[in-house]
Amino acid sequence: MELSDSDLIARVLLDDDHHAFGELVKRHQSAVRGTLRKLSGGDEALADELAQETFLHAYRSLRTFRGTAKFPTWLYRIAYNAFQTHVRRARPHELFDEDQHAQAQPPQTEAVDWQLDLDTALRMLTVPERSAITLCYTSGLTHEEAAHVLRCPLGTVKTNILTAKEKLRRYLLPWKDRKLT
Amino acid sequence: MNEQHDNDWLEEALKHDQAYIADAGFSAHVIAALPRKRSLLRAQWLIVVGAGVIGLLIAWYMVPLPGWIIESLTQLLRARSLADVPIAPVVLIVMCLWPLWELLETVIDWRSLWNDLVGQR
Repeated sequence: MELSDSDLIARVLLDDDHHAFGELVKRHQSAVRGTLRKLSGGDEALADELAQETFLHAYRSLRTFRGTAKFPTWLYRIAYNAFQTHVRRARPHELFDEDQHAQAQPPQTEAVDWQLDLDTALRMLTVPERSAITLCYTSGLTHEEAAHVLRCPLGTVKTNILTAKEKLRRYLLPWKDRKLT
Repeated sequence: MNEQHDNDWLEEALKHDQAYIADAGFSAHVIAALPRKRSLLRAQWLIVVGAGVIGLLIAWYMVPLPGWIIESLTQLLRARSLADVPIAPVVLIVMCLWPLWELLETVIDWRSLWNDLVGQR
């Protein structure tokens, strides 16, 4: 029988069971790494580095996990904090550039891959917009959970999602029919 | 209606974008980077402190403290201003405590211990 997240957490807290923590990592690594890849605009190396930081932080702070939020939501919060710390350090490269957006050409659907275009489109969003859209759509969080992870009001999350979707829709429009068929 | 249609398409595409990422050694890498087991750290801490105390007692028994050290330490405790502080006992204390601190820092994962203490509150 597969142990629940709570059982594994209890084992880590009681016996400092590295094996149990390893099981938690295996269970959630894909979601955390996937979310960080989207947040970092497709930078896999950076995402994996931040994911490792996330799990190590989670291990050290496991005692502070009260269980009021779901374990993955708690992990996303740590992951987002790690990402934000990185953005603060590399701020000039991460800022949304209106000129860049204006100059960006719609993708040539015949030539480029959907994934690359989506990553490019996500990079054009501001960090709050990208974070909101990633957490709500890629990670499958509710708006309330995303607001908890992002530590911002629910209204801000909703606004950021609307703005982000508008920008993405404009940029990814050439893919519309291909994705629908 | 058309805008709604566009949004439906986009939402669908975003939701189905998350493919499973194979572990490929990621978990093992994280486990390898975990701090050593806390129980082991506690045992090491006890060994270091215990050995230090026993060593000090043996040293005290075998080589009694010279009178000037006791006198200087008493002077240090009674000092009312910086000018009264005798240099010798201060240097002696720093020389004894510094290596002990370095040793403890090497052996103990203070961050884990701090998290333990904070978490227990």
